[in-house]
Amino acid sequence: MPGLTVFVLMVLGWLVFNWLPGLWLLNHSSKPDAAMEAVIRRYQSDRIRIEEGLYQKEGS
Amino acid sequence: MNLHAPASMAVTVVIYFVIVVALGLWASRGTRNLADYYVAGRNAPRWVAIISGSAAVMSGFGLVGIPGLAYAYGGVAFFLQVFAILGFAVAAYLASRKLRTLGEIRVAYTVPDAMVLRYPSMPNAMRIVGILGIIVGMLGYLSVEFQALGVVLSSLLPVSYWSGVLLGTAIVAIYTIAGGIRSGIWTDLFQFSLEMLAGITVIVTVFIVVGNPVHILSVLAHAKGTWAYHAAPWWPAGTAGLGIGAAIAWAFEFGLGGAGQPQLLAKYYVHKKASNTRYQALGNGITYSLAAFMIFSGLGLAALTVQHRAPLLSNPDYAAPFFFIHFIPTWLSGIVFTALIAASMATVNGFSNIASAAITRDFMGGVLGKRFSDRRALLWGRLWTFLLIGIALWVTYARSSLIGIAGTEAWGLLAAVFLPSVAIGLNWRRGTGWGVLASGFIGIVGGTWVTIANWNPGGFFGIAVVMAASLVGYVVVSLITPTERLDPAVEAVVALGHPQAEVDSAPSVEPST
Repeated sequence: MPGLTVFVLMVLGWLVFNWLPGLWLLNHSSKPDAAMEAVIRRYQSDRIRIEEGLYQKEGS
Repeated sequence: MNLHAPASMAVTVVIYFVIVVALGLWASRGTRNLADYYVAGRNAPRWVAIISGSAAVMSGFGLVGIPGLAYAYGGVAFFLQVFAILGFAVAAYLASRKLRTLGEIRVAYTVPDAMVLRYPSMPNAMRIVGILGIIVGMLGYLSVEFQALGVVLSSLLPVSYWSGVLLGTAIVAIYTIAGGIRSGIWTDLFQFSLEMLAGITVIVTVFIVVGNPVHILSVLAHAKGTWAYHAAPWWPAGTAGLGIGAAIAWAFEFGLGGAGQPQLLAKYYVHKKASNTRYQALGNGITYSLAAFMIFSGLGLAALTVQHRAPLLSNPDYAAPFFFIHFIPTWLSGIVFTALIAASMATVNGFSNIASAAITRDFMGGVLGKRFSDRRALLWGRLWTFLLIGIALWVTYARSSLIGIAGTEAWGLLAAVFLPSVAIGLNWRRGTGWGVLASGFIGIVGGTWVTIANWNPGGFFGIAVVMAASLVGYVVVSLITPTERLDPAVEAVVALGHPQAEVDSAPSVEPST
């Protein structure tokens, strides 16, 4: 068939790559998300203190 | 180039301009500090943030330049477009969760912020590499967008190419300067919806007017002269087209390089909830691929030209506008045409924001140590946005090439700087600041040189060579320099996704006393 390689590329782009890798990552997100939440819980309070010291309010 | 567009299409575009400016100014009301201006207060709903990422990448390069490449060279252009779709998943896997987590636990608004946290041994050097990478890449990328605006507006309105460039730039400058990224993400939602509608309209029209992809490829394959190469995966050696080197370079540069695009990386910060990043790859893949159907306007028009149903265009960049004006029903084409403008405007907004952030926050605040009130910082942010758009306009004036080729160079330069330093560095503990200096030098100096010198050895894009060299430079120099000592919070972010991190996240059992 003429243009077979190009046709395969089209199929890959619009029927495979557009959803399959993303769906795989979504279905395998439980463990990394739990790890992420644990990191956020452990270190989130630091940021507020750091942020407060970064910019001085005008007039202060 | 006057394409004789009906007046009703021009009216639609004017209405679109009014809507975008009004939406941008409405969204800008909530902009009170730098967090609002640069990361939308970290409060963007899931799909708004995801679509904003798609909109930042799908630019005039994608909607105007890639159809132009497909019209000029045919099937080889699909290596670029298809691997760009895959690139979203690679980028989300490597960086979305990590950057959003970093924004939650440390002060990180910009991509250089992430570099400083990741490579704390040389913070100022990291900021300077990040700033230079963004500014140099932005100037190349914005010049592509301004060219696309000129092509689209001059084919639609009774204005010259340069008047089109200036008109489109003025409109996007108004809402970008006013509202920063907060305006950007809401206008992105509207604009990218138009881009998806345009993509769907194009593929349906191509099926109706020209035929299915197999038929199009068959028409091209049996055409006389170089048109037959449009059905081949690349042009044979010795012809004037793009060969196997270009195909490989595009697959490499766009499959991997998406993870090095700061305009996309910056959008990971804006999610309201960190856990929403789990939808990033799927959301970007689906939405972007709908808008990416636009490439078929270029290939379809090539087949129509072979069949003598369309004239031969002297400038391939006019392929998408020509297809819209002459093959899509007038009542629909005006609305869909605005997508071509929207694509450029959304990217100009995203890029001028991150570049302004790089100068205001990373250079003035980080390197020079200036301290600002929220009001003063916003003023500087807006001033730099204005100046950067002006400088990018000058660069556009100084150079010109096919939009698709210029876009390839700008994309590769950004990937050469930020893929190793951010996407790889957030996953590879051994990466060091010296490694970033090496890859940044190769990316910025090498990328600028190959762009100016137009160096494409053996048909393989020089910018892809630079990208590969920067990756090698980062790894080699990192391995021979001392390991970075990281803040425990950043250490935990780098470890995310590694088996040990998952063990650490399990609820700990306190020993009984």
